[in-house]
Amino acid sequence: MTELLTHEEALSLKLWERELVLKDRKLTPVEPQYAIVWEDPTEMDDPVKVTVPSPMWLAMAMHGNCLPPVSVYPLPVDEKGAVIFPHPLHDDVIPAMTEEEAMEYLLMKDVPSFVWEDVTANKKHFKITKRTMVNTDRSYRNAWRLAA
Amino acid sequence: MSTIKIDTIEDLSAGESVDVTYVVHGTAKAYGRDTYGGGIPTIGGISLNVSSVTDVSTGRRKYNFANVMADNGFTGSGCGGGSGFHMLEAYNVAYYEWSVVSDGGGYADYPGSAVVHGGELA
Repeated sequence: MTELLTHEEALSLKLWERELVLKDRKLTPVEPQYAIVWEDPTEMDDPVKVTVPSPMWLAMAMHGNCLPPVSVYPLPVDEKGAVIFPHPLHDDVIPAMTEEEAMEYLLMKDVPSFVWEDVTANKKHFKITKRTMVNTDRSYRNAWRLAA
Repeated sequence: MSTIKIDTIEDLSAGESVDVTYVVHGTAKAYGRDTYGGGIPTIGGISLNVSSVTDVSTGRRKYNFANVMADNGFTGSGCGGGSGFHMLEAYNVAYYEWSVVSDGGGYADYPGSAVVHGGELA
């Protein structure tokens, strides 16, 4: 992949500015192959949820020099829900990831930690799978469950 | 990247003007349009500040932000295809969850929907 944004330049920009710069420089969105299928262990009657990256975000992840280390998430908020220290979001960037690595990053960013960090459960509450493996018939969407 | 520092943008002929602060704070901070692909919603090629879409259940979706919002005082407006309308379900600085409700009042799957967000970024 051609480097459209250098590490040094990225560090002078905020995260949202990096996305705009990469759009401006014609970064090609990447159609995702994978999805995260997950269940909320606190709401066992709910159907599974399916998270799919946006093509632009996936392209940013695979380009590198754009996203912050995943350890910055979740950002701490005050009692009113406002972000207290936004700077970790903008202060550092990580190198390019493969699509598989980007899915693991997305799991830790966009899926609640009690889903993927639960070491007490006797089964995993998520699976990263090919999108083509997900059911195409939504007639019984609210009955979808994670196979054992 | 270059920077132009100004206070006001003014139309040459009509003399109408707008404060740059208004433009900065008034522009969309995130948007996305999703359609069903393989049975689950996927974001179309063009989006802004959306890292992923979560298919929550029938008629319910969640957009996760790439750059989180500064606080919960942001807005979201959208449309859901067909005759459905958009209803807010839950939100915080990191995501916005909404549903598409049919005329009959129940959650309904429509083949596509779109949302635009305003507010302040962290």
